[in-house]
Amino acid sequence: MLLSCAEASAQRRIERAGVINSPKGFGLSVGIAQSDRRIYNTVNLTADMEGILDGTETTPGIKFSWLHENILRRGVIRDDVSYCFFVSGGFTTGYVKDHGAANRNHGAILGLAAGTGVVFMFSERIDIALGFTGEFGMQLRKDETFGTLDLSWYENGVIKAPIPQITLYYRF
Amino acid sequence: MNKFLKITALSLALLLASAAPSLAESPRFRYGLQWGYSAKAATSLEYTFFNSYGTRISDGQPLTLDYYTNAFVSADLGIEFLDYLAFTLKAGYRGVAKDYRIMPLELQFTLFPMRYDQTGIFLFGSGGFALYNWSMEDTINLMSAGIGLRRNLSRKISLDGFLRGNLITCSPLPEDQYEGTIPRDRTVYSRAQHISIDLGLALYF
Repeated sequence: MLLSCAEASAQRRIERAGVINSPKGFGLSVGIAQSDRRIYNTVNLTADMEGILDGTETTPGIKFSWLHENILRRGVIRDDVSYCFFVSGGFTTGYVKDHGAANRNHGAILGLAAGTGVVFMFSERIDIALGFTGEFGMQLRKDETFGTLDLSWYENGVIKAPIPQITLYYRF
Repeated sequence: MNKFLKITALSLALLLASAAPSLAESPRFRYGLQWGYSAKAATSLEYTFFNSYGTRISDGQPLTLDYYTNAFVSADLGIEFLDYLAFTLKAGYRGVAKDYRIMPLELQFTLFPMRYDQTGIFLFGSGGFALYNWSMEDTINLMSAGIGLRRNLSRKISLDGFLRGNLITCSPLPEDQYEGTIPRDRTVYSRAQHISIDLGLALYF
């Protein structure tokens, strides 16, 4: 039963790459295994979908996040499928549109990210991760009416935290 | 002669009975989720309405290349049978054109030339209707066909990737540049056709 959780890879290496699918955004994700098997790092680059799916905005935002995952529990279920539960913390940055008036400008964000989820590992070199990520940060943007620089809480990071994301990975 | 016929019939029955398990496993129910990107490629429309002054206005455009980006998601319930075939009922939510989002309900027929429990390509076609704003007033019909690749992750879980072409016909309320959206009671005729191409993923359990 040679699945990534059971393999003893002793050094840090890029273990998997995949596609993030979520109503929040679509993007790419890379998983970096660490020498300590209880820790995992994930780097995500996503196109933020605020306003896109309900047609009020045509330009997606861009978001980069780095998450440091602590694996709480590993297990095996039938058919040689193994799983890991994890909690993660990290940071996020990007240029996105926040929740609010439809004509709001995009703005730069910086904040802390936290998440939780489960990764299912299949023998076909496919991993499927189901997770939730919340972000707590600030946004700096140009006011659409007065042209001044506004600094505000990045509300979408908290409002959209309960929206799930499914990431399909290919394991190298 | 009778005895000979009986022996032949019995032998044939035994032969078929022994062949049957390898020919057709018992059908299996699948449920899953499907989602992806949808690109509207072309649109044609034609409408006739009475404006607020009672003047009859007709306009339209022939099938023209007209790109708009959309997405789709659906929850599926299906049955796979006879090793190569499947019927799936899909209920979903998708964008069709700018500010036009519908809730389709479709029946899909799938053919797996390499058996549905093996990794391989599949072909499918589907048809159905859709609701707009929870109403059937727009008489929306959908037809689609496509090709995909199935990868079985385990005995019970399949991951499908597919490319699909859709033809969606509907009767939306006409939009007039002076009066905005024309109500149904002043609309004589309205028919729109949209051709879109979907690229999607599906997970079945």
